[in-house]
Amino acid sequence: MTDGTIWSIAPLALLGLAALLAMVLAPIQPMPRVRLAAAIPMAMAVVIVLARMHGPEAPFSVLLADDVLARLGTLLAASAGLGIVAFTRSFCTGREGPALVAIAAAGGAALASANHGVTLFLGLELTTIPMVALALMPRTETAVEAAYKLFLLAGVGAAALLMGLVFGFAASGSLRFDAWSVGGPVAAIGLAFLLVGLAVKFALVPFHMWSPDLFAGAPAPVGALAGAISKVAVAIAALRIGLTIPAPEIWGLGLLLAGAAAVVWGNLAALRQTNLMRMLGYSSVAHSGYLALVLSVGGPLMGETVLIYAASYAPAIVAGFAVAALLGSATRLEDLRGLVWSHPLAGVALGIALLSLAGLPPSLGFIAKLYLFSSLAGEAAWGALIIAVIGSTLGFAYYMRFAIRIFTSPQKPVEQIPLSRVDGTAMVASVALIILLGVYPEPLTGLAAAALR
Amino acid sequence: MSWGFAIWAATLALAAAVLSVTRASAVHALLLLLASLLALGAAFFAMSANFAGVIQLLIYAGAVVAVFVFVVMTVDASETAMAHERKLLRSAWRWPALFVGLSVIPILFGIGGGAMDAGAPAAADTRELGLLLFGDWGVATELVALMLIAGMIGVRHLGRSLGPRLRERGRE
Repeated sequence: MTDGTIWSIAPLALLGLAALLAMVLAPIQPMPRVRLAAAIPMAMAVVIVLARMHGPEAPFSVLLADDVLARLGTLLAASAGLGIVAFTRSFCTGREGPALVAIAAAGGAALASANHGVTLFLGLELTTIPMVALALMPRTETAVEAAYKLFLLAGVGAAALLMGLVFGFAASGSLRFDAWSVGGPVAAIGLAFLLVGLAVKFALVPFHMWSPDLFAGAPAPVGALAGAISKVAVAIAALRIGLTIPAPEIWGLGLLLAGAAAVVWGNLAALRQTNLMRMLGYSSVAHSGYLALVLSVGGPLMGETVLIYAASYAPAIVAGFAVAALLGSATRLEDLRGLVWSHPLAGVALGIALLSLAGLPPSLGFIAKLYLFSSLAGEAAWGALIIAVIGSTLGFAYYMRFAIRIFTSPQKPVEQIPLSRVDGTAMVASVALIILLGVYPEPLTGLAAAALR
Repeated sequence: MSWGFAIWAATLALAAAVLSVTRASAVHALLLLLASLLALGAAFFAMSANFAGVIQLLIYAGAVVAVFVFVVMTVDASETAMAHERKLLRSAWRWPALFVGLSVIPILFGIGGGAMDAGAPAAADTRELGLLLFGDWGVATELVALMLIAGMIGVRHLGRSLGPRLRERGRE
């Protein structure tokens, strides 16, 4: 084993180490120390990935890629994990919460680096099972229902994915993605099954049923995991498959139909919600839909658009759920009224996160929407573009409905509630990313361009 | 062994699997699943994939026994219910036994014919297996280990009883 390969596996190994440390310390140490034990290796993983972002490739194993795309995905997973650990409290997730978040982050990193069917499957399961385990921790009826919905649908998705891998293997004699460009009906059936498996985790429309329940019924860190780690990693895996295998028709058509349905249905359903978490759940279906539309249309901007969109979604969803964790169950529309007076930092953070999700300047969400529309327009995919524009308009309506409520003056006098320093740090860091990269997006766009070279 | 036998055993496995998912009783379905897994094991042996065949028999057939434990744990165990179940399940073994019996018929009577071109079974000694699992596929092994940890934590929490301790625990 040479020097380079040690550094290429280090981020994934550190995420695993974070999980082990947090699990071992959970029964014997107070919760803040458990969180710290998970956070330190995760932070080290972030630093190592950043340090060798443009370094030479040194693949550790045939199962994992070590290109800039994989490193960018690992960076997103590790930093999102870091943000989520900050607001993982023992009263909602049990003491093993940080360990499970770290495992999910490792799964996200594996999924983003997967260039082989085995790592694709393991990465998907490695993000799903911690989400199920975290979701059922409170053992309330809604939490267990959300966990079972995810578990059953993810099981169906995993079965479809395995079936796809089997057909891919039958067609090409290999489980590596780059061997699957052989074409032919067997490979096409394999890709169709693979698409179903990914669509379940991606929450595209016929398979989205778990998403709103999970966001609303399970503890706040689970929603953040589903949005900021699982969805982003699946988007990168789908992008890698789309880039490796030359545009088979069934792949594009399936993504186009499921994506368009997700945009329409997700946005229409989100419009009717009065609970912040449920609204974020339905809107996450819509965001998956935009990504699927871009992936289906293709074109020279496809890769950059997917990466920038995913990178803009992750900090917004982390900030949103950090605030939701703070508010506990009081996340209905009327509870948010005057939030900026009772929790100034939380109010501003949630406001900016919603602004970014709606795609307004000067947030990162605006840059992402700009890429989305120019990518669709560049390929003259007018149908997809119209659907995306209508969806974004609907999105603007419901995000603003919540955002305005935050800044409306409260009806009764409020006392300020102090915010824990860790929560505050997570919110400030996410919001700073959203605004800084929104004003000056060159580092991110440069990284995305490098990842696709 | 031969391709004819492999295809015969695989067909039986498929038929048993179809019957398994269409049964209303959990025990019937499980027994048919067991028959399907055994027939699949026979198909592996027929294709000279001895190692895969042994794994199929040991792990999958073994896992069905574990699932049986869960079924036994969750069903009503009162006297009348037991008598009712016994009456319902008296003939439960017939179909699964038929499938397993059918899948060994070619061996007994030498039907199937046609030598297979796969030649001698590939050597699968523990050393090579270990090198594979902790060499090239080491990452996958470690990821599976992490996955099992997550599953274990989840199951442990699902299995705990909701006593007063939970409510006392409160905020950290």
